[in-house]
Amino acid sequence: LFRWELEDLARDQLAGMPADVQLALSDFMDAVVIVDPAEYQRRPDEPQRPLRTLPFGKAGLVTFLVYEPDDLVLVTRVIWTG
Amino acid sequence: VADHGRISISCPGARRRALSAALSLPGSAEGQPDLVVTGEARDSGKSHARCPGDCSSTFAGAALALRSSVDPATLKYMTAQHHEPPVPDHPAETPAAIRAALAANASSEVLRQYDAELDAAFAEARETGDLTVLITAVRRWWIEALEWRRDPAGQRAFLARMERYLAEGPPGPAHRITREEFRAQLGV
Repeated sequence: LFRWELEDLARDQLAGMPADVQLALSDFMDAVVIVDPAEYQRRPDEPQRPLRTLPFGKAGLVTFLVYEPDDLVLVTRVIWTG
Repeated sequence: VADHGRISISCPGARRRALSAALSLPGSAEGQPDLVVTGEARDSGKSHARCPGDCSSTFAGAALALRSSVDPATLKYMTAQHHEPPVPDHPAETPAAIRAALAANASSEVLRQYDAELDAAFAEARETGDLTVLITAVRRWWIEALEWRRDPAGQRAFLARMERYLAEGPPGPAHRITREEFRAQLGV
């Protein structure tokens, strides 16, 4: 099973965001690791990429690195435009 | 407004997020848009609709029909959403405006990624009649465009950091916070 963690720089980005946004990000990442992130594809022909960027919440964007050797999904950037 | 196979709306009180993305689908035949405006109440035959928020804007295209390829049940939910007034300095949330913003601020590699992802999303939307992937792609890249416009140096530094992680592996535990630690900080 994969687990997710925050890079300290991403934690710093989150620190300036509302609590509900931080919680939304946490819930979103919980969902990301429910399925195998290394196998996840949005369409059949999409190349598997270890670095992914997806929208979350109403106005958020999260980038994470999938590092299979450690079963780690590391959040490396969080942007909130709300 | 239909123009060479493209349709766009203007609603001063809305940020035109999902709808404007959908409206930029290119035409399937000369002079004929893939998308046709049918009005908020398709059954009534009205050609204009009112913003569902409180901006009192009236515009064409609150409900859409993707010519012969979208399930009407899907269209029921393809209605304009009200948002706070747009920020003047922000690019419109449309494929063309996003591309212009990226071209002005980001690298050619980022622009190439945007084109490839949007092309794939358009293709899937046409194939499946489901606009979710297209809307998600436009939203993702709109936010990217905002960031490139706001802090291009920061974005370049971020990409360089990611290249390093991809080549050498992620930073060590001293530079990471676990899910449990983070949620404890949130009080959940």
